[in-house]
Amino acid sequence: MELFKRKSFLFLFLILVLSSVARLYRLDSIPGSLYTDEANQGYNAFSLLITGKDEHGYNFPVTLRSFGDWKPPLQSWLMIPFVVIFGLSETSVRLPSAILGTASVYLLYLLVVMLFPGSKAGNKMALIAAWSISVSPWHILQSRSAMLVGIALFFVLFSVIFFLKGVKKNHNIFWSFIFFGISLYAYYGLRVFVPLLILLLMVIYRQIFLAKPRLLLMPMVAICLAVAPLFLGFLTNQDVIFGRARTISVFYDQGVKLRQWELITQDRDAPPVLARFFHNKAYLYFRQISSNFFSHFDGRYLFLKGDTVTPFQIPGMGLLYLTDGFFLITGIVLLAVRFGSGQKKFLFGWLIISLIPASLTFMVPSSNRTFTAIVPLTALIAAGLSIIRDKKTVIAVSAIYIFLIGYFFRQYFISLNSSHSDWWNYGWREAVSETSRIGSKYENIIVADFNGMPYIYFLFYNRYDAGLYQRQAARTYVADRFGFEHVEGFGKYLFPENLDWQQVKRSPLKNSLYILPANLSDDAGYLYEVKDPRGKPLYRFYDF
Amino acid sequence: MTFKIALNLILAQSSILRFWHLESIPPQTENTLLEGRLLSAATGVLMTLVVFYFSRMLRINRKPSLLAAWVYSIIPQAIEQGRIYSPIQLLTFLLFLSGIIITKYFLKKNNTKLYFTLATLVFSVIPLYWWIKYPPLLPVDSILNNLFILLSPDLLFYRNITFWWGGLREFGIMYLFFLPFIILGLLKAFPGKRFLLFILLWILVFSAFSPAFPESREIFLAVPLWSVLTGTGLFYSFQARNIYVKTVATGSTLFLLYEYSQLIHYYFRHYPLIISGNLDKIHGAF
Repeated sequence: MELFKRKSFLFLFLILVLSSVARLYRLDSIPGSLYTDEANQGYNAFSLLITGKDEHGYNFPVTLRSFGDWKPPLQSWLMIPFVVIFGLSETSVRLPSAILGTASVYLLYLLVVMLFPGSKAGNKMALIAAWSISVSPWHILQSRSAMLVGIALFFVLFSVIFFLKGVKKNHNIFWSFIFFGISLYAYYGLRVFVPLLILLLMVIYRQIFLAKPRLLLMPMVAICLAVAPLFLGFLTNQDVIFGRARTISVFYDQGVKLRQWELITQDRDAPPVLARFFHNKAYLYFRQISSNFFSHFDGRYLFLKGDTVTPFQIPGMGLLYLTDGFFLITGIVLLAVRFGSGQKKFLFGWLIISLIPASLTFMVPSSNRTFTAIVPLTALIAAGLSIIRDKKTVIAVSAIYIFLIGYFFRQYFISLNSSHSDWWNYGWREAVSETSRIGSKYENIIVADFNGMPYIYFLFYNRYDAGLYQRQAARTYVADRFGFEHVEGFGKYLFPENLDWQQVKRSPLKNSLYILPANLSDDAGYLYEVKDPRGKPLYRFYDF
Repeated sequence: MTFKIALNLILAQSSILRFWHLESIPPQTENTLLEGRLLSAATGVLMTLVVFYFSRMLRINRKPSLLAAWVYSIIPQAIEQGRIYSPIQLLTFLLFLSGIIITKYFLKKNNTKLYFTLATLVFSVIPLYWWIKYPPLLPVDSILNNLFILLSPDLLFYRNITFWWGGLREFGIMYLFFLPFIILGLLKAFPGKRFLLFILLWILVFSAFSPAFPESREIFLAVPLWSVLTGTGLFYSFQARNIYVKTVATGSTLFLLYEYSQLIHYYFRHYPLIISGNLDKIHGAF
């Protein structure tokens, strides 16, 4: 037993080394550029550090208004120490995610050990789960970017571990709920997921709370303490809680309403009661939401193509390895047949709950909004893998996994940058750098606002004075059709939306530098051109 | 007696669903073969009976077999394929009917190994046709892609991608509220389950290999098997003593009936309107 413990410690150590390398290696340059949201959070961390306010001038915000998408602020707050140490850079923006992502590997190990306590099989399963998540394409992708969910998962795992500890030593439940509360500041989707997860845990471990009802007091105090700032923020502005939900929810999308109108119009001869019976919103929304929910079980999404939203894509890969599919099914059968009802309810319940936030939004399936599903999925894959005992099978399965992991590393660490740099908005760092070099000559620098939110890159890479920006920023706060609020300009920078290049050429602003996407500008007469790693033109500079 | 009445009622329902306004729903194109439609509808109705006997052949009791026949009679893809000229509907009928006849009259004893061998043989013969017609096999990623499409909840419950071959875009191959019963059918041990799942898996893999996927619609061969699985699940759900299972079963059945009414309304009211606007795009006999 002692030997096994020592061996398992060694394996765990090696797994953690592997996960650190996979998450920290060339973190600044793979993915090749900061995505708009990453740059925004980085600059807000910088702004909070310098002025104590976010880019909009809100003091110590509980939600970052950001592009009008009201981002939870925890990631930006966590970046601040790294911005102090490394300055405002790609590394300081991505490090919190990478570090907490690596820590999550260990936390998952602990969680599986606690779920299947006191058995050698449980320990083996925990080690396999840690290994599986350490090489998971889905987890590595999210840990190497500041897209909120990496740190959110860490806090959820932390909370659940404290809860499970609290089953024996009750005072831990207080800390569990404090961390649950903190996690609400990490990712928007957790504001749906966490209450449901708490409910699930309460139902599974209801005997403890029924035996000692006073134990409920601790969670209530803890959650009130943690949620109080958010609630106070909500009292001053409802968007603090509902801002993001408004624009991404299925109820904001007009598709269902238009469909209902179309069907009722076709039924115009029928009695209105009958038309309502067949074409009511409740049924149409139910179909939409349940379809969104089940879309996350599509094999093409899980194993072949992954998320279709670009920053969350890995070229030619799904979220899981192809072989994971087989072991996932084995794990599900094993869990259904062999394990206890508490473990079943916990893992299946978590899986179902983690898909609910994304089901209420459009643009599904979504790997980002369902990231917490990685915990039950990995545990189930580990359960499936843990039944392999035959040495030859172990060697064969290991060989297949080594091949698949090698393929993933190639796709992520090489192909992503060389062939798909546009997925991460490549080119803005180079454009800002060139603008800084030549920009002093011009009265105006006009950047066409076509590709994301270019203003944030000019703030980020120029380390633009945060206090000055808060005074200079020109915004209308009018949301576009996706709910995003654009910046009109600051200082000598202007960011016009839908810039008409033909019109500009006829009557340009004098002594101005224009920066446009290459596909919307002329192939000749430009001053400078930013190209992607394959030499394809991205942005062109023109002066008048 | 009650059983015979029930079976006849199911057949009557199946006939109404397949023959009612057959000449105009779906609207005819210039290539429509009305005789072909009649043949599909007739085999569709007979297939309801075949599903019952197929289920009995697997040594499943009479009641779940009756439920399987009822499920087949209302399953969206079976109705859709039963109302157009559909070679795959005819093939399914012939294949299952010959399966039953061979087993009942030529193979007197219940021999599971023999069933497996025969099934493998039968379903191996059809892919051979592709090997002759399309020598290069599909790339592995295409096969996997097809397989995942066939297993996707989207195709099974929400959107039939074979719109130009009679499928409804608003409904999947089956109803969403079949799902709880399918899960129960998968969990519950019943006679012939291994054989059923084996054939189901084989058809899925076989369909994924088709170079003419998805228009070749081999997946329709699986519909009788889904019906048996769902029918068995339905039966066991109402046998269960667990209050949660009973509640879920009752709720699901009510929603299932609502979905069924939605399908009938949509098929007979809205589908003809959509098809009328796309007649020029539909090729083949339809």
